Amino acid sequence: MTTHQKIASTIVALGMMAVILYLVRKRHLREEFSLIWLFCALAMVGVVWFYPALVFVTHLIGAVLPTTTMFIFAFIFVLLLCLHFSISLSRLRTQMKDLTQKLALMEARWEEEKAGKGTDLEENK
Amino acid sequence: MKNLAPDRNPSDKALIIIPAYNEERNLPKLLEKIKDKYPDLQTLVVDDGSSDRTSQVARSHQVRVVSHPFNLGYGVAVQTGYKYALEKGFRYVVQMDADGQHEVDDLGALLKPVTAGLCDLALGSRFLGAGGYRPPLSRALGMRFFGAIGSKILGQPLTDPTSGFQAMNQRVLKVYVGRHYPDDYPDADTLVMLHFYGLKILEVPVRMYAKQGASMHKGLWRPLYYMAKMCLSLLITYSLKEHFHRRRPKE
Repeated sequence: MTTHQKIASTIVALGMMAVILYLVRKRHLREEFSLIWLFCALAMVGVVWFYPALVFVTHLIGAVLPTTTMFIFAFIFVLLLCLHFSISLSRLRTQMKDLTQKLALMEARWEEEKAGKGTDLEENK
Repeated sequence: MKNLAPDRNPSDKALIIIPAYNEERNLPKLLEKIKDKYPDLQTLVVDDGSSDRTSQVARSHQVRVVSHPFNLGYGVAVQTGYKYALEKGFRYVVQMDADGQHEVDDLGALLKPVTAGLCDLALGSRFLGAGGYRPPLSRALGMRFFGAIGSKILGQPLTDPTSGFQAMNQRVLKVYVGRHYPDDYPDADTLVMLHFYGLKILEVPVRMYAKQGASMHKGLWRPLYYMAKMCLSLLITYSLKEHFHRRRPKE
């Protein structure tokens, strides 16, 4: 890897880190989600400046070119990220449903009390 | 129908849950018929974020109303009704559709085996009765397929697993408000889940009519999604068999 390539890649990685930190500061991105992106940028710097490590991993997994190794890990990373977002979305969907139901039930209770109906348990006393 | 709703204790009364989405046209006829046939039963309309006057129409008929601020789907709407019923202490619930698909006259027959303690859930079946509406072939095939799977697991015939015309007691309600309730398309998977919880299901003949308005099974994507989702849900439910066995609900 040439020095030019190393410098260009490092600038891209540092730029990415700056954007992530800016988004966290502006509260457009939560810290819990930003960590994974910061880790991704750091990994980019690590791969660029410790190129022999990438070559070693390439031999380890039986790939021919270091670029193939990069693409494989990038693909796995994106897949895991998608899974992480699917889990988050599922949890949010359940929380949103529970919250909406609670709100609707509270509103109904409030309207019944306002109309003087009271609750059935009160009627039962 | 006095025997179904004793006056001495409000908690003995049954609640009729009607999930409704843009049903301002069908609701008046249905609510009037219910009031006429079952004056002692309480009715709850769950307005699932309708853009028309569904809530106002329901309120004008002096029934209970719970409104979702936006549309969450059929399964969530009925689950809101179950939560309401438990919160208010109702011992029995009958759920029926707002679109006139279910025959009000059969409501009593559906509720009777539950109040008599013969079963925990009475499932209205259009295929056990004298006839009437028969679904289109694609839907009928789906019903048969999941009916066959359900029958095999339950060890009893299950002719209409997609029926939304059901009567249930508090034990079933407690299962239905839990986190394992499939709130997108509650169907044969819920029946299998109830069976694993040790609850008794009984099919009762009822009359059903063609659905007014759009069906969720129209188009290509929806039936395919439904089939795949139901297969997956049945598989997951089956894998949780032991978990359900250990947590049998008490009334």
